[in-house]
Amino acid sequence: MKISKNPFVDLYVTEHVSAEKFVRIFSPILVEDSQTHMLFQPGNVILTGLQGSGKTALLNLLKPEVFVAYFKSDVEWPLPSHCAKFISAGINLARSSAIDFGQRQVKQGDYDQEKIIALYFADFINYWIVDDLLNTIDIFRTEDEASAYLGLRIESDLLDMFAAELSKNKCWLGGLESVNSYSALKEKIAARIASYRDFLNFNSELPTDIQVSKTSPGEPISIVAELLRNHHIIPEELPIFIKIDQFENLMGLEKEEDGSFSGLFRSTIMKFIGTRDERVSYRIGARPYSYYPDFSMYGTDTSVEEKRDFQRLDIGNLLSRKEARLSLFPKFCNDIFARRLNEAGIKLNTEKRSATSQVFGKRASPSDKAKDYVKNNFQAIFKLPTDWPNESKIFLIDLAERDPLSAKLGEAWIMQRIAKKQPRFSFAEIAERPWDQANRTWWKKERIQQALLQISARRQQRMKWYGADDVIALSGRNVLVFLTINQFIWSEYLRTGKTLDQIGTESMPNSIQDMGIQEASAFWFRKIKADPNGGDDRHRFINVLGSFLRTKLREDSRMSYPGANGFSLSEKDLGENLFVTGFLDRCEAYGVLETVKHTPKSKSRGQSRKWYLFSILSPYFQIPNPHTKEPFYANVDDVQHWLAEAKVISTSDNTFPQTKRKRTLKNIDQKDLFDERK
Amino acid sequence: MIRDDATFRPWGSLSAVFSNAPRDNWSCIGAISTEERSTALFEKFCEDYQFERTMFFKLVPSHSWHVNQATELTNRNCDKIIDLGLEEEDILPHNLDAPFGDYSVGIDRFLEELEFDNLIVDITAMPKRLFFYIIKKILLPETRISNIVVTYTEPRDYGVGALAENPRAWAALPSFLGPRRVPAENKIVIGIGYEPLGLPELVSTGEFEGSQISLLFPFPSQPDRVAKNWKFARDLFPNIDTDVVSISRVDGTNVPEIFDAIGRVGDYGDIQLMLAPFGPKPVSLAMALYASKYSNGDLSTSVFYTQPTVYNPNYSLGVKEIDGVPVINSYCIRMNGVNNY
Repeated sequence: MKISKNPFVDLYVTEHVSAEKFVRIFSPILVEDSQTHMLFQPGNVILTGLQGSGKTALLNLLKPEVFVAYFKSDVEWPLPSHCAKFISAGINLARSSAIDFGQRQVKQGDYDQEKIIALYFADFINYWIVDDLLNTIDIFRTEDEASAYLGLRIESDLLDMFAAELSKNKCWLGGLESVNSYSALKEKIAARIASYRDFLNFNSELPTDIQVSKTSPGEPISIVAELLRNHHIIPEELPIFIKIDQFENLMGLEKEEDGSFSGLFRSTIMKFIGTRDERVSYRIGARPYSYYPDFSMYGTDTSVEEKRDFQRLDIGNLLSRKEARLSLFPKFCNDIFARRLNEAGIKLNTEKRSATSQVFGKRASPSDKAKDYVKNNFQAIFKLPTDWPNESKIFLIDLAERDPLSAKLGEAWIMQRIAKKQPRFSFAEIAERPWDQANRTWWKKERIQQALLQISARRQQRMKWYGADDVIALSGRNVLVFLTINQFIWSEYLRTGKTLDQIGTESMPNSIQDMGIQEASAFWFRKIKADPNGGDDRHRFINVLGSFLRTKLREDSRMSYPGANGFSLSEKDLGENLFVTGFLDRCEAYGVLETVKHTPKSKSRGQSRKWYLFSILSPYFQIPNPHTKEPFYANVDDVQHWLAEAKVISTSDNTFPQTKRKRTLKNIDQKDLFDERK
Repeated sequence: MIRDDATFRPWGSLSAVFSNAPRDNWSCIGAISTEERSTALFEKFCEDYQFERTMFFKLVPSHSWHVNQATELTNRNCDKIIDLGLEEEDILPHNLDAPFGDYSVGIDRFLEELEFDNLIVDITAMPKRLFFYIIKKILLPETRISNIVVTYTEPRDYGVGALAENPRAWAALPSFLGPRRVPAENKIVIGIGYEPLGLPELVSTGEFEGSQISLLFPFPSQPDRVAKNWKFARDLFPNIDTDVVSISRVDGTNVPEIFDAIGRVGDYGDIQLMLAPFGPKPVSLAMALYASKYSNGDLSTSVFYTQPTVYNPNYSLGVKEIDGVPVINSYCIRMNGVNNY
């Protein structure tokens, strides 16, 4: 059978596919880490991760449709038995229109507009979640075996009794009056949601009965859970999980004129989890930047506390390498990759060799990449000063024919030595290639990528990326990037006229991989513009920054600053310039920059943070992606200069100094080959 | 010639349309921006007629590197329209990025208090989220307006570089949320324009997966504008799968024709449509008219957009003129109390 459909054509597959297909393609690697098991056990959890980290896939495991699909299929439930019994309901704050509360004005007596709108917001969420919980009951109603496994008793008379008692509960403040059957209950709730949607859609005002029956955050949900248990519809011990996803979207509702965020809607959500109510457990899906410092709860003076009121599960942390623990990410990628290919009809035996390395092969050695860039014009990789002794030049050119990478490093080594004005050195010393010797391992390792950049630039060749390791490294612990890279690689492959069934008998040509990676990188760069909250600003900024960093690396012939594919700012500078801090934070939040804390060499700078381009952007800007050596030590002036050049701020802004000091790399404390501290 | 089964939907130049329109009792809703053309309708109309009541939104630019220039141009146009006779208290300043509720309060109050028979809605400088909402409101049966004309002034040219930037997230325009549960059979209609505003990335990340997509391509047009439109289309679908995507060429100013083109895709309300108004204003007007008409029930039309928050101060340049007369396209959408669409 000839297969010609791209297995990676759909990037966000877990959001769109049927439950049956989800079961086949879901990767259980993430849930191999026991930390993730907290999602399937009682207790509130805030699940954080950037776009494409796998957050939605994990939360989808809680869906009743997926639970039933696992139950019916021959695929084993991916979690241990103590994480295999629950029911769930939830709300997606973006898709449900809950975020539209920020757009409407409400006038109600003398009450403060913000307070009133937060109350309606909570009431809407209550009704939406209760509606979804009843939908869950309805799903299991027709699934006898799954229902029996969970111990559910979904019988009409029980449901009617439950509905009648529920409607009388004070928590509704009369909102469910006259309901005496399960079907009437569902109709009443649906009607209230419809009224809210009309209101949010600017089609009508809220009816009076809603105005006088706003429910408290979370209370009706807990009452529903309690009564479902009291009426033996669900067993006493069965956990009920309530998902609230897209928490970060609430920030858009809270933006004040001065650019700060009021926290109003997020504090309302905190009220749901802060009541220490054990009848239900909440799962809040959020991007890391949507946290706010004090976790205060709406309408109270108190805050929710991590460990006491909720636990936090950070997917980015799970996928990172930690001292003694290997990163889960390569394994995660390989599993997803094999499942996608399997779904497309390509069966690979992954017992001895991972799926990605079978298809993409090994990453080329730096030495081979250098030879690839050089082709035949060996002399062209150098910019040798005319006053150098001829024998040194001849030696390097001769070496370049056999090992251009070593020759380029040798050029830098000699330049560093001359610049340091150290005692003259002899040709015999050069002929021994000290830069290649064992005691210079780190010096060499830190400069290999910069040397490759300079060789490719001198030869006017594009840097190349291919091989399984490159594909995974460029994905930057983000599964969406991994899928995007694959989508472009496989498109290029299919464009050559080949069909997928040939994969397995032959690996993907390197040139195809490289083309796909370059395309994916360009796509990711374009995609920056599409993100809200200043996408075009970030797009222009990264263009300026990426070009700046490349120029720095390319023109640094001595390779004194090989870590200049990133930059550092001191925490002190960041604290004093909130605009710059906020902008860089948004760059991180939208997957444009990556940041880590670090301790700079110069103690006077104090604790600092360093930023790198998001890995997948490296091919577009032709910058090496490994983060080695010290970054470029910038100050706020530098960043403001980039911001002004990118037209994020005006040069006439007060925040931007009219006369900017000349910034060079010379004044940075960097150790090099001759540094005695080595 | 008007077909027997077609509704008479007059449109044309301002002078042609008003040659047969009532002379008195006209009110106007408009918007003042950085664009010179934003005052053209008021200026031209007031040469021969008089507005009884007016409301113009002053679109206060959001923070950007060119906010000073944008503010200066907007203020200049405000001063100009006041000099032409608009009362200062009829200008409502609102930040471009303000919550929509700030605008809707003004619109609702204006329409509630309207005592005059006839209304012009000048959409020339209006952001889409504004005029879509206004169109829906004024076409409601209970609105006591006999005649409604929508006007759109063409520019002499468009600016260079990006015309609009920093889009908001993909979201429904106010009042066009569509049904809570989208039916299995649904289609998407995209108006092709100049600025994709993140739309290609939405397409490539599967947002429209499983839906039939129709592109409304403005043609004929000036060659440079056609080239921009093709670039937009290619950005959306580098390799068009004709089983999924179809292209309809429409006259970018002929609102009745565009309305019918959309109607054929959506079977005039029998198929649920999601409209994406990225094309020229008249194409978006046709979308607003269609979505307003088919806006109830499980098949109600939704309109989604990535509303920009920053506009190029030189979005357009000057006013297009023919024989010294500004080109102000005018569309009768209600005549003698009967909606034409």
